[in-house]
Amino acid sequence: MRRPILGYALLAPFGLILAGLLLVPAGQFLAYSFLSPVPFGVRFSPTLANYRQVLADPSFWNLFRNSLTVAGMTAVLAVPIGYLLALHLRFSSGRDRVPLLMLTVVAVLGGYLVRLYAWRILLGTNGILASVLSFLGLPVSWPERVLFTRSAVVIALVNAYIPFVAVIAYGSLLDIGDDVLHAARDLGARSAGVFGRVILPLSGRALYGSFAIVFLLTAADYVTPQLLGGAKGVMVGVAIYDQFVRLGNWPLGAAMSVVAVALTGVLVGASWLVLRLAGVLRG
Amino acid sequence: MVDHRRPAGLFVRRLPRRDFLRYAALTGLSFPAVLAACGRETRPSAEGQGIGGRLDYFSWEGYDMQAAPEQWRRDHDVQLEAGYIGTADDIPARVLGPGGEGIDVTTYYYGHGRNWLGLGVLSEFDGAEVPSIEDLFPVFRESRFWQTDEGRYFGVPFTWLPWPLSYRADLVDRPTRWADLFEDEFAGKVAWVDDPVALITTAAIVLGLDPSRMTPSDLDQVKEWLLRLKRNTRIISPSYGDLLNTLVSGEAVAAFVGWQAFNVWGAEQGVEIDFVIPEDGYGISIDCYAVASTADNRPTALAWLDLMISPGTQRAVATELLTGVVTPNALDGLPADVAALYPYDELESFLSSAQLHEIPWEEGGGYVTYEDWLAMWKEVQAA
Repeated sequence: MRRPILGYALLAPFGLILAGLLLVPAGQFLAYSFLSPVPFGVRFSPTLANYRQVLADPSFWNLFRNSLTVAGMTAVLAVPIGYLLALHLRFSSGRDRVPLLMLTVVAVLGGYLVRLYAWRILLGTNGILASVLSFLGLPVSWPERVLFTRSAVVIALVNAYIPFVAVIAYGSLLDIGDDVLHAARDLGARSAGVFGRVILPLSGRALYGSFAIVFLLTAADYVTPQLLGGAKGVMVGVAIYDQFVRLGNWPLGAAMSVVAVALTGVLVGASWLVLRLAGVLRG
Repeated sequence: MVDHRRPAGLFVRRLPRRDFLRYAALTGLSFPAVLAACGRETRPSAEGQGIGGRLDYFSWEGYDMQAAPEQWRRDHDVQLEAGYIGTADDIPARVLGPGGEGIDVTTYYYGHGRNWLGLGVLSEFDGAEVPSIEDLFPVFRESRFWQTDEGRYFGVPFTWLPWPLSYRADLVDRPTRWADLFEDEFAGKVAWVDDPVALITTAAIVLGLDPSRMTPSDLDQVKEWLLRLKRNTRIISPSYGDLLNTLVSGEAVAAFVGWQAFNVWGAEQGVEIDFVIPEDGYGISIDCYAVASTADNRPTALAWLDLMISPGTQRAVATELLTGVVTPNALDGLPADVAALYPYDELESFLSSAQLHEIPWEEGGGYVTYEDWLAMWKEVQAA
């Protein structure tokens, strides 16, 4: 009986930190969303008016739709590329595995804004890509068409999240022992069969998890669209920022956040359920 | 027995549960110490002291005038700690929110003055506490934008400028009106800045409207004008700094709205940026210095305000940022090209034609409020 208690006791400080940094702020947000606004504050007068306002606001839904579109496109592109990198790391990198893994992790450490401005330089009218194309005698107009569009946002976010997907997928691929793969081959499976009937199913949950993480993080991003997305690249985070910073309407901003997070979570959860029922995800 | 489930190698090491729990406990117990180490330093109150000590500034980079008052700071042993904003809206959010304690001086856009005073962002002072107020141009000496109805002050005008149309003089012909930005030569080459006050005010004035008294129908007119211009717009920059980058890189060749200081900063980067005051209308920005409500070094804050409107500092800021000066004593010694930027001999009429106004926060009279402005701005962004 002492062991479980000791375990909980040892985990308690960490749990308190998680609660303090995650649950308490989230709970405060949720509570604020049901309160009445005073400029840059709240009044303890419960109301559903904030949610009514959010649900009836067409511009909020336009921005939210844009956020989901960008998030979906980013996740759909980042996951396969990251997974391919993870497969290479696990099965065919050999002695290069450690350096490649280090490079993958280091890519995450680069400054967020530095990376965004690097993309501006890369894709800019007078940027590196345009210069190379010009040098090769190729049309240089297409980088100009990419920058300050949704495509530039997706490219930058895919680049940012490939390492996340690769590291998550690599962790799950490590759990697939060589003996399992040998057994599959011994039973007559070829490479495609080994991948499709052994590796992919066993790493499916990690794949889905990385998809969900990329989707959720991208949907919440609003700096990348502001710097790379151009006049049409605004996402829902900007609307939430306006409520908190410009108008000081914390309850309405909190309600927008809760609605955005809840709907995004529902989408992710629903997709998980569909994939489970379809037998794609097991366990 | 060998565990075949996991291949051997680097980064493959089993972590027993007991070790995990031990590490988690250590992390949890060490966290308060880390937080304390990162915590905000405590500062002694300056109440009852003279001028001197730490002065916390929170506003635009450049308005803290690091170079010009350097001697003054040395003479009075003042340590200026500056925090910078991306947009003016950061100021009330910071002063009124957590982390605003100790901010001594800040600035505000004149149209927000009374609103911010009512919100508790700014603090009042007597005119005698900032003697240089007496030396200002008459039009700047007394105004409801920095005075209460009882005659006390809550700010002093620091800089002013008409919102210009900034453009790449080496890439396009000189435009003369905002309406020129609708032309095909500017298609996909206009950059906006995410400053709804500046953009909506300018659009309203171009349409012949009073920005402080717009009906919902008037606001719809402004929205349509903005949406038409957005067809030629490439980017809405999140800050004036990013707007400058956009012009310097050539991704955009014209800005709605720009900033005169871009001429100086663009030249520093080898790029020719110029500005025009459009013939079809312009808004005026007057930025005012103020003592924040959270100030804990009020004597130094008031002395700083007096310094900021003194002739020497005014000359320095006008030369650096190409803004207008607020005191005639600063005109002596001002470079001729800087002095020629604005009509100081017709100052009052120049300012009045820009329809100085308060940002409408309160409902009344059937006119739209700032909240309506931002709701419309959100629709324009989402379109």
